[in-house]
Parts: sequence; structure tokens; C-alpha cells
Amino acid sequence: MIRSKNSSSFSLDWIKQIPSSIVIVDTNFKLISASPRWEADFQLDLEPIKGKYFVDLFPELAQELKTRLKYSLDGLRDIKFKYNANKCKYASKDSIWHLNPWKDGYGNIIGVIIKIDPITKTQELELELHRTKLILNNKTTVAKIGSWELDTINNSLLWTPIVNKIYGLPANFEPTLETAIDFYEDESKKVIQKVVDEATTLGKPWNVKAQLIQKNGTVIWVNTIGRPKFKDGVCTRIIGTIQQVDQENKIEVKNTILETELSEYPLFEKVPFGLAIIDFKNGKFLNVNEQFAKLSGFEKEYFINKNFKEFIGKTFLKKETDIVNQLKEKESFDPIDFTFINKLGHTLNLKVTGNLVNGLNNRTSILCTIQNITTQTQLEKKLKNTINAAKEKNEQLLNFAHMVSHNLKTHATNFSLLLNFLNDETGLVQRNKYMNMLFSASDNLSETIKGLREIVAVKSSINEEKKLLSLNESLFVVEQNVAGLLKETNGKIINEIPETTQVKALPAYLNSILTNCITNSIKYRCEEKKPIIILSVEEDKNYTILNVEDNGLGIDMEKYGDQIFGLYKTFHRNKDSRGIGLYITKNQMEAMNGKITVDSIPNQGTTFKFYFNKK
Amino acid sequence: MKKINDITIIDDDAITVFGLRKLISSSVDCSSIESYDNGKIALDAMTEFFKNGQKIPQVIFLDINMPIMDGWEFLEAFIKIPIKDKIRINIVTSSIDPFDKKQWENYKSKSHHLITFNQKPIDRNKISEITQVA
Repeated sequence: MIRSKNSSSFSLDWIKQIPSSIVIVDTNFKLISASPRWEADFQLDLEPIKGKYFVDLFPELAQELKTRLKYSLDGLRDIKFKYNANKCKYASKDSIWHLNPWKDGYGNIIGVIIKIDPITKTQELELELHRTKLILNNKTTVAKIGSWELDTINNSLLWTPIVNKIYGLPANFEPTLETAIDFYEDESKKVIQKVVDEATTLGKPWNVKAQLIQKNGTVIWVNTIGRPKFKDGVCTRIIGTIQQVDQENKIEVKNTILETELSEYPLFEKVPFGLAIIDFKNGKFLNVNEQFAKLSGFEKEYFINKNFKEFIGKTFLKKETDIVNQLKEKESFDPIDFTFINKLGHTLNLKVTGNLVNGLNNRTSILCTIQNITTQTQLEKKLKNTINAAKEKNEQLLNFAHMVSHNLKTHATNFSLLLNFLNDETGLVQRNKYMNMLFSASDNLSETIKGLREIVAVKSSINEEKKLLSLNESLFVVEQNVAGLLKETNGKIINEIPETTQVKALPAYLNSILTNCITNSIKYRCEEKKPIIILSVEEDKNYTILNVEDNGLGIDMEKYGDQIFGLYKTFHRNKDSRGIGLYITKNQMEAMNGKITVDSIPNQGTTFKFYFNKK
Repeated sequence: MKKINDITIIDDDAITVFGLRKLISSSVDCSSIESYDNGKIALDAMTEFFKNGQKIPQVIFLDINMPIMDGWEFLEAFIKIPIKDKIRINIVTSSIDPFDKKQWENYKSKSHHLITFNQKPIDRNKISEITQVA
């Protein structure tokens, strides 16, 4: 920048003719001349202050004035600011000062021309707006300001890495003016093109907001500022900054939206359930009420301008098209239940339904009500479980009734059959034979009734108290009972249960379960092998698990896996098989809130796992 | 009364088998009555007969609740043996479970054999009625 050393060599007579209020300072901010109007406005005489340091006249705004004058000397045109008369010594009216560089015939800046305009209401508002915007911008200024420099002579563009970041480009990307402008959204592209042109040709600085499409397609708002630099009357370079202002814009948008939405729905905050207004076009939250925020655990502001999809699960998303169709068809959608995990990590069952509303500005939005139905859902679930349990019990009872009637009927038929034969028979030998058969039938009946009695006993003692029992002590008693059977078959029990292991069980059940299991292992042994039974224990969170492993006949799991615990299911040709033992064992385990599983390989052995509930 | 060649009883209850045998032999003219303790043994025997070209019994009395292989399992396997002759299979049970009746209807429609469902007790008249060549 070349500054004229001798500014007084110019005739400044023209200034006296000017009707408007103008004052001129040189590059050192010394007052050179002023129009009569200016003198009148500020009630100052030109002569005594000529050549004095201009800024000294307005000490109240010295700092502001100095900075602006400097900007002007840098070539920045039409710098506006408001002169507040209340604060200052001179002039009684507020005014607007326009600062422009003063150039000689060669385009050199030799000073600053300050034009003072009386303020109009519109201008005041405009200024106010501008100021507010500036404050807003400054308040939320983030570190993401990139600066750049355009060499208009060589048409090269340099920028800082932050600009690459804003553009979403790799750090090593080398921009040109064309590529830089290319990233702007079509409408914004025109604006940028225009301001660059105007800056280059007219020296006009710019400060505009524009939409930029990042490398990955994301559209963001940026604020770009450019200042042309002139040399010998020619724009040689433009320096400027670019800043992502997405956040600020959102805040502005949000505030206005919140207000309009609130005025549209005066009871918005007063209803006792969650409300949310979602933009139908883009699915973004326009507003939510406190109740909604309370449900979610998030701050109200957290939702504004976020897409509703960020908050809901996949099951809900699947229904999205359906919801949109419903809304288009009947302007509302049917209630949908879904689960939502709130900020505190609680899983909530929510019911949502919504209506299409046409609000102000012809914007179509969806007004949704969100109800917390977690308690209801839980109760419903409990009720369903109870119903299912009752149903199961009912089925069991019916099965049981069928079983009982079947079994008793068999015996009754046998009795009547044999008695008829006996009645018809006169030969003593035959009669004796029938008599023996009758005795055997009677034994069978007693056996069946005994079995049924055992089953009923299991079902009726469900309410008895469980006790903490030493597994080894219980096993010892059972071992005594089966000692004869073991000796007869040369069997062996290998006990790997730690002395300390205890299970919560009903003593009679535990005894019955262990006896049944061990006798089964011996009963269904492989003829060619000595029976070996291995008992061990493992623990998990809820259960103490007793493993009983044998080397017996085994059961074909594929064929009989689902019937193994069924009543009257027998799988081996064995005279003692009643098909009752495992049925009872299973019922006893279940009555104690435990369970039983089995795994088996035919001719290799069977492993039963008894899960004793720790509670 | 037409003479029946072979009759088979499949039941695990010795008394029932005895009773059936006695009833059949006193009311029907047949050359032999075989009995099997459960479905598995009976099926093995039937499969063997079929392989060797021997005659399959013309009438079968079948119990449902049996160990190892019950009546339904026997039926399932039996109707898969490609026997050309129409065999009469009389299910004899004391069951009142509707499930069993449904099973019977199911198998009846699936097979060309004559399958009947009979609830105990079975008297002499009933025996002669159901012991006929299908």
C-alpha cells in the first residue's frame, strides 16, 4: 500500500460545495477538511481543528473509530457504524457514518472519506439486526475458522488446513478458485461468483452465508468473508475467512420455530403426556414438550432439529413407510408400541400415535403423542405368563385325567375279562390259572395306583419350604439304599462332589430324585459292562448343577429326546419299567423351580443334569 | 364264517393278550394267533415276513401304549411297507384321549389298509365283527 506523503497538494475546494455531511482525514487520521454541513451537524469550527488528530475529537469512540479507519485505509469500502449522540460530546442526533477509502487519481489510498447520514428507522433496525447477528456469530464461534488468500493476478488459491476440513477434503488437497466455488450448492454458487466478481472489479468486500456441499455430500452452512486488496488500482489479491456456521443457523431457526410452534399449540406444555412435533418433510423434531424430555431423560434442546430416526430402534424403522402411507391417506397413523432406551439406560415401552397438522407458513408437521406404557406392558406380560401357566397346568391336568382313566380302565377291563372266563370255566386247573392272573392283575392295579399317588404327591407338595441340604449327606443315604443293587451288579459310584456343596431342595424330593437317577443308571446298564456312575457338581449364576453320568444303555435322543420325561414312556425292554420315574423326577425338579436336562449316546451312556435353583 | 389264516396281537399287557386270544379262538376260525410285546418286535417280524415273501397276518390287533415302540409308531412304519394286500388293523385301547382318535383318523386316511378304532372292553360279538378279512 502506497500512501501519499503529501495529501495537501490536492485541491479540496470541492468539499465546500457538498451538501451532505462529510469529513476527510489523511493516512495519519489528521483532519484535512469537512463540509459546512458537517461543521453544522457537530457544531464545530473547521479552522481550529484542521490538521488535528481526528480521533481525539471523539474520545468516546476512539478505539472503534481507529480500527475502522485502519480497515478503510486497507481498502475496505463502505464501512458503516452507528454514531450514538448520547454518548458523545458533539452532535445531538444519532447518525450513521460511512467510511470509504480516499484515493488519488492513481488509485492510491491517501486517506478516508467519512460521510455522515442521518439515521432512519429502517437503517437503525438493519444495524441492530447486523449487530445481533454478529454477536450471535461471535458467541458460538468455534475453532473452525479457516482463512484463505486468493492471488487474482496468478489466479492461485491458498488456504489453511481448516478449510480442507470444512470442505471435508483430505489435508493435501490443493484448491483452485474454480474447485473452491464448485463445492457450493447451486444457488450459493451464483452468490459466491457474484461477490468474488464484485470484489475483484469494484473492490467490494463481502460477508455472506452460503450452503456448501462437503465432499461426502453433506450440506453445511458457511459464513465466508472476503476483502479485496488493491495495488495500483488493480485488485491483486483477496484475503478472507470461511467458517462453518451450521450450529448458529440452527439456533436461529430453532428459536423462531419454537416460538411459532408454541403459539400454535398453547397447551403444548400443559398436557400430561409427551408431545413432539416432527417436520413431515424431513423427519426432524421441531419441538418437544417437557413431559417428553422427562421421559427421554434428555434436555429438550437435545431433540430440536435432530431426525426422529436417531432415537428409535430398527423395528420402528421398518414401519416407517407404513406410517407415511397412513399419514398421506388419513392424516394420522395408528398407535405403535415400541421400546426405547432412555438416557438413564432404562428400557421403556412407549406408545406413539400422531396426526398430520398444517401449521403456520404452510408447513406440514406431525403432532405425535408419546405415552409411557411400561407399567401396563409389564402387567400385561405378567398376566400373560400367569394365563400361560394356568393353561399349561390345565393341559397337564387333562393329560393326567386321561392317563388315570386309561390305566384304571385297562385294569378294570382285565378284571371283568378274567372274571367272565372264571365264571364260564369249570375245570380246576384252568380256574387256578385265571385266579393267578387275577392276582397279578390286582398287583398291577396296586402298582399303578402307587405310581399315580407319587405323581399326585409331587403336584400337591409344591408349597412346602425348601431347605439348604448337603448334597453329599443326601447322597450317602441313597447309597445305603441302593447298596444291595450295586453289589449285585458290581457297580461303582464315583463321587466328585465337594464336601461343602449344598443345594436348596425339599428333602423328600432330593432323596427321591437321587434314588431314581441312580437306580435308573443301574437298571439300564449295559449287560457286558459293570455300571459306573459319576457324580459331579458345577455352579452357575442361578443354579447348582448336579451331573450324573453313567455308562449304561443310553437313549436314542433323536428319536425319544422329547418323550424321555413323559408319563408312561418306556424305552427299554425291562420288566421294571413303569415310565413313571423320570416323569416324577422332572416334576419334582420343576416344583423346586429347577430343571433337568439329559444327553445320551446309545450303548455309551447317559448324562443327566439337575439344575437346583439357588433361590 | 370265513376262515382267517393268521391273526396277530400287539400288546404289552399279558392279561389283555391272554383275553384276546381266548376270545378270538372261541369265536373265530383261524389257523394261528401270534402275539408281540411291543411295536418294535412286531414291526421287525412283519418286515421279515414281507422280505421273505411270507404272508402278512390278515388281521392285527394293536395296542397304543407300549414301551419302546408304541402303536402309532408301529402304524407309521407299517403303512410304509409296500404290502399289496388289504390288512385289517384293529386298534384296541382304553384311551379316552381325543388325540388318539385324531391320530386314528389321520392314519385311516393315509393308508389303504382297513384301520378301526375300538375301545375296551371288547366282548365276543365285537370280536367276531372286527375279526374278518378286510
